[in-house]
Amino acid sequence: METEELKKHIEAILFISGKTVKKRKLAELTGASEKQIAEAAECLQNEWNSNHGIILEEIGGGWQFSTKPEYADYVLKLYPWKGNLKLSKSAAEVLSIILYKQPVTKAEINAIRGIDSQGPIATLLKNSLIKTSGRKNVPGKPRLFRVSENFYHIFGIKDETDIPSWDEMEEE
Amino acid sequence: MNGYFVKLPVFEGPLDLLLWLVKNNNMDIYDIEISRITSQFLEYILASPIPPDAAGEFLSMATLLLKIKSSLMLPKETEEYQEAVEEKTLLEDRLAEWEKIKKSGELLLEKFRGRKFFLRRDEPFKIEVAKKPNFSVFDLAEIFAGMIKDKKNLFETVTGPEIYLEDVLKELSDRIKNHPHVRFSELAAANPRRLYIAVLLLAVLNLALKREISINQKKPFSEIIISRNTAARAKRQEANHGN
Repeated sequence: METEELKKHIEAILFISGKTVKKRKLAELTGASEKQIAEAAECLQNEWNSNHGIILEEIGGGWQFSTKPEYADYVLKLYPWKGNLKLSKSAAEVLSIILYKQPVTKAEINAIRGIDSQGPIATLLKNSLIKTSGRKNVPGKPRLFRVSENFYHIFGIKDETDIPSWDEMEEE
Repeated sequence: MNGYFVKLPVFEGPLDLLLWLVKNNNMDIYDIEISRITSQFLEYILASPIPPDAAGEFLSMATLLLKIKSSLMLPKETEEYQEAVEEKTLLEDRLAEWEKIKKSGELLLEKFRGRKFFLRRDEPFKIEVAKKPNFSVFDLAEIFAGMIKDKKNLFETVTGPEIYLEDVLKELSDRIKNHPHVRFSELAAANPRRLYIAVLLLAVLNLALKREISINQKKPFSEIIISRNTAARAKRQEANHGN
């Protein structure tokens, strides 16, 4: 497929999806290679990001359309709940534990924090920042948590390499 | 003792407090002076309100610190001393891990602030889940037992809706308008509760006093017949009374 044609395909898919579509998925849908997808997406980014109210962002190993922060006021007038998310310090800490230790159980999170984490975990689940991902094969079969697709969007993380590694955290 | 603390930050958990003490004393996380930290930790939890839902965790950390501290005073050959060294290392590892998590949490919050107004179409809905009360059955049982024990909290009888004389008076007058003779037991049967019957009796006496009704009872404890007073009869009664 020509790059021009591929761009239109990607545009249509991203528009209708409304959230991140992974590079791999885009390749699968269009029959193009991941390299071609990346090239076409980059062209699209250049076109969209200059002159429009929305931008094409690289998020969580794929791309998505987002509204620019300058226009958030208007968007929030239409959809007030989109601006509802508030993150507490303890929620951010629990999220960090899940990010670096995933998949992880609540008991493991509690052990690292030294206190019970039911509240922050409930908040994170409610806001789709984490998801349950199977159960650990130990007595009680506790649920395992991972960060969700929404996590990458909320923090604007391009992909796994965009997160400082566990060892890097120490050096800072 | 190391003076006193002024304007302490609030610590969510024991690790938070421990890390703060280590930093505040300019110690290396991997080389904690356990006796100094232990006394400061104890000083803090004795002086400051601990979050009630983490009190156990603070106390268990205090216990661990005390245990390590006392074991480290024993001769180096003892098993207890070796164990304490291991426990201290484990604690230091946990503290180092916690420091990284805190850093990462701050990093995430920072990113979040910068990203807050990038919105996309498919924002997951925030689903409000009714918050479960943070109590177990055991908590309830404990509270209940406490109430019984505590003489100050004597139980009160739960009363139903209150009954007002005005209401019953109106009811009675209405009834009497349509029925020239009513039996007291009939009226009482409508709401057979002690309070209602007492108020009903007051209402009957009240109307009798106003000469709107006359009451008749053949002998004590027998049926009371309530009869409507005609205007003429009321007048006669009034006149008799006047004499």
